[in-house]
Amino acid sequence: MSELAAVLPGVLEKAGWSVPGGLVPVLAMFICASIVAAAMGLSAAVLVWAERKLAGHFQCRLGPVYVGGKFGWLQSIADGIKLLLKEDIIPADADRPLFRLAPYLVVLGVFLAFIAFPVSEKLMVADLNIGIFFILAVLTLEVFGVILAGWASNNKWALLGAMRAAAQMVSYEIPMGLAILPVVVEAQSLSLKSIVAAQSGGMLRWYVFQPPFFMGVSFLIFFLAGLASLKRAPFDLPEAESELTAGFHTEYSGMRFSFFFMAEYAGMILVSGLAAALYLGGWHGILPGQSGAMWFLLKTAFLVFVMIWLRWTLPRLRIDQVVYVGWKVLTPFVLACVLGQALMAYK
Amino acid sequence: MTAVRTYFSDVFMGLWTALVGMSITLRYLFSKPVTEMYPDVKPRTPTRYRGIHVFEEEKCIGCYVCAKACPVDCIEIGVVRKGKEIKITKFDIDYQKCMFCDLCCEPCPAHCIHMGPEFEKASFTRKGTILQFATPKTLTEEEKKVEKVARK
Amino acid sequence: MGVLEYKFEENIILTKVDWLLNWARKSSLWPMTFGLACCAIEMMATGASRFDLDRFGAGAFRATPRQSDLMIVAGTVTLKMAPCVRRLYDQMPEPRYVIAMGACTIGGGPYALHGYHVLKGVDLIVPVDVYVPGCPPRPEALIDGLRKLQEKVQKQGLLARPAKPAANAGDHVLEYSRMDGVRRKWEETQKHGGLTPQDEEAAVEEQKKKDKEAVAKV
Ligand code: SF4
Ligand code: SF4
Ligand code: SF4
Repeated sequence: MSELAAVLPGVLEKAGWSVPGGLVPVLAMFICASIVAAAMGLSAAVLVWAERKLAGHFQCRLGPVYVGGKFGWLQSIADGIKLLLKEDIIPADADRPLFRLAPYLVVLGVFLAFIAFPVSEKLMVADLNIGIFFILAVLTLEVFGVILAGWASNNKWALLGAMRAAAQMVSYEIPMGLAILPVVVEAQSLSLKSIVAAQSGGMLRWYVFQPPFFMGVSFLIFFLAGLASLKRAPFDLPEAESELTAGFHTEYSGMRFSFFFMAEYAGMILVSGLAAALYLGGWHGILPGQSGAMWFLLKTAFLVFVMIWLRWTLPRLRIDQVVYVGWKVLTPFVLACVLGQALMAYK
Repeated sequence: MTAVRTYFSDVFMGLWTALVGMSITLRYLFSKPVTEMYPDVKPRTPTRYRGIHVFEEEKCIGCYVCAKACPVDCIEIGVVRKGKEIKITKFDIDYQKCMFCDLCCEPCPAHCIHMGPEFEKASFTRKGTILQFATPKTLTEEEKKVEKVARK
Repeated sequence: MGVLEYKFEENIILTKVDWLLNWARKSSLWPMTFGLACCAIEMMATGASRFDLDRFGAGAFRATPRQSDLMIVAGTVTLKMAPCVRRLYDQMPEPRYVIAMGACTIGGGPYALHGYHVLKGVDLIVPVDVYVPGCPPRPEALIDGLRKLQEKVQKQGLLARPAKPAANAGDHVLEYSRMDGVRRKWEETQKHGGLTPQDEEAAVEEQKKKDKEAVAKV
């Protein structure tokens, strides 16, 4: 963003518009925000289509075919327009202001996190010096939205879903936060830019492949905990269809529901991108010297594919199993990793 | 010590079984889909498939045996008899009720009603699901008097 | 949408917009996960690999009525279930569509004569868009029903008034108004616990009379 703010006056001058100097940063912010929002919406749409198509092929069927051309390209556009046009229902007994607020909160959490999203050295809205910490902090906003949605709906399924979401978040935020520590210890920085920069020089310098694999294990743990915090299968307890109708968004229809939908898919990109940046060398290529946004996007796409793959493979866990895995498996393992990495750094 | 061993083997098995499952789905991802392209390619129903009936009007003798055999009374037949001449004025099968059981076809003495291969009969109205098999005819006054319409 | 419907005269832009909106609706008819009897098995088969409802964009079965557009009533609607079906329908947001799948749902099917416990046609409690006969209909028949529904959705006027009523519009008017009468009666009977066949028939007869009067007036 700072680069944009630096370039902007020149561009504006060429275009013949005069903007007072104080407004330039505001303008830059505005532009960045709209780019992020557009990218988020667009990628969510593409991802929904990709997921339906992949789900089809994972099950030996075709997925969308007839909607717009050969591969059903226009499926998510049709879904989007339809959701826009649907009647917007707010149940009579719902807490109206909270019911309205919840979807925005959910989207806001993910949207804010995209600010520190390191696509490449230049393509980054803001290189915060506490980048990774910031992302973890704003991502928790999402769970507030979810709990509000469940509570405000005044529906027992929604409330149960929200309670499950809370339990799940509390158990998985901890391993997720701790899994980042080995990386931070190794890179000596919280800024995503310098973390990625420290992994330059080919595939073997990526943090996952660093012996003795403390960071490799914590990558796995980060990915699993990320899945759980996104409420994706096999951790989709909060919206378990077979037992809770649709969990916390049972009462949401039309546009408001599509916010939850979009947040989920944008969140997938976010977690995958973070994992790629922290452990898989971000924008650095496989061979030394290669780099660019392309690499980052490729890695993110691969991790997203793995998420979809997992979803259409595994059945849903039970809530006690989910909490068991969170507290009794992931947490001790990640603690061991942190300890090991710290000892190595001390030496 | 066994508890520790179970714990670690559980963790290992958890990861391993997930990987096995994922390898299976990956295999399916690259195998050929089994989907039938229905509206483009019409399916071939088996020979003895029990679909919408086929009725041969010229053979029918209007004996009501099929209507009597039908367990849900969904065949309605109208006949005009003049000496040896038989006119089927109405042969309606009510698919609001029909359960495609084939019981009407077996007893038919003239072998003129069969279960057919057709199944696409979705309609926009409830009335549209009552199908008329007899060709519509205009009757004279005299014929109207002798017409017998019955379900059983 | 109710606010905007039929508020404009027809013109070329509105027709284009209408076309787009209808296209979006028909391409993403999300059905509700909702099966009542044997026909539901066939509905599941339609969603599964060999027949794949998702090809038409209708494969995202939603578990909650709030997010679904299409109710496939698949199976015998017993009198005990009828109020639930109606409630689920009421919980769906507009625009909503109903497919009556199978003989039971269209008019009682095998239970039409002696089924003391079966609602003789789900169109007595909810307005049905497409009837798919069969016992059970094969998955292709259901897909055929879905395609017919898509045709119907594509033809509906949203912003622009439709140029002329559809060919069988009169039929629909009669059926819908009859449905309304039944529904009123049904709501009354709810007070003493459920719909009896006598109530149902009486309501239909009464409404038929009213229909005839209305038609005679026109
Ligand atoms: S198939 Fe069975 S239910 Fe249908 S008309 Fe024949 S006898 Fe009646
Ligand atoms: S049993 Fe055969 S011949 Fe007799 S009325 Fe039925 S179709 Fe006609
Ligand atoms: S129509 Fe036939 S298959 Fe369908 S629910 Fe009724 S009895 Fe079962």
